[in-house]
Amino acid sequence: MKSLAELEQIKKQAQSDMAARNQGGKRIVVGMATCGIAAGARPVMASLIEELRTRGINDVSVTMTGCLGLCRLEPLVEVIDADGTKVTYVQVDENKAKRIIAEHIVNGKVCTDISITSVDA
Amino acid sequence: MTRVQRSLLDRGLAEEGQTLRDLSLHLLDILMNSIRAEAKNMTVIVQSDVTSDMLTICIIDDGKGMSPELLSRVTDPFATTRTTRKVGLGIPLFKESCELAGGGLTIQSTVGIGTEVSAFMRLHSIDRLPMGDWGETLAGLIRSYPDLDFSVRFESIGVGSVTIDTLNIRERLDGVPLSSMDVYVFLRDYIGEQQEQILGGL
Repeated sequence: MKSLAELEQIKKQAQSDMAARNQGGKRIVVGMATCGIAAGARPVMASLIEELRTRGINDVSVTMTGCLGLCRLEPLVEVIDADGTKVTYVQVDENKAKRIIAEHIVNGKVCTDISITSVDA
Repeated sequence: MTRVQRSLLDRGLAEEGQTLRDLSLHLLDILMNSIRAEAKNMTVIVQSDVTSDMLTICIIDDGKGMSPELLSRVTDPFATTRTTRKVGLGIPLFKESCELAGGGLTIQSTVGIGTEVSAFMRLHSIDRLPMGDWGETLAGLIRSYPDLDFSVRFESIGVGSVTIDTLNIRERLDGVPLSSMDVYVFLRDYIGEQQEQILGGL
């Protein structure tokens, strides 16, 4: 059973996280409007976070956003590189989520077969 | 298939079999509305009462609120044929889920003050949606919006209650961001355990 006292430990641990692997300030955004949620966006977000955690990557933000405007292609995941280049992945499931982390985030290689387009943000 | 679900499919907003299949997904949907309405504080109260066979969920925000005209369209997207302004189907879906379980959903909203969504269901109705994973919903929201405040209270009449709120957690973390990985994992598991502890396997 977890208790709020564990937050003390997390606070101490946070200092040592400064040595975390640096992935160059990439950001991941998951569309979380009704259409995205219905299509399974929440477990996709959980998979993205879990895969980052497994790999010890602490400096990539994974956040929700509202409707990304392509309801038919949900769940949608955007990866935004430090230079603002944005890649949108479509109909993402838990397996595709793992590929996005392994190939795009870790190796910097866009998964072109599951992305719709690559544009400058 | 229900009317709202049919409409979602017809508009290409969902594939067959895709809907908001538990209450934690409805919660996520409603709170995303609050955030879009620029809420800074969101309070969620879940109360289960076996004696009166009732499960109630109240979601209160301090967002910009809705005019009576918008409010009427939000609760029933079929009340108007006007298509100039997009109205989501999240609230009608939630309302329909509640009604199927012998309950209902009401919304009170005041422009400039905020919005309160109250949903109630028969606890033991066979059509009541399960609670789902509230830890994943809330930890995900807190990680995404670390500057906003969320408070959730689980209460089971005659059993007990617990309140988890980000004000208290932020204070304990003393500068470590709520968006950090360890905080996410802790909150996901902690909230899930508290849900289980108070509400059991609802």
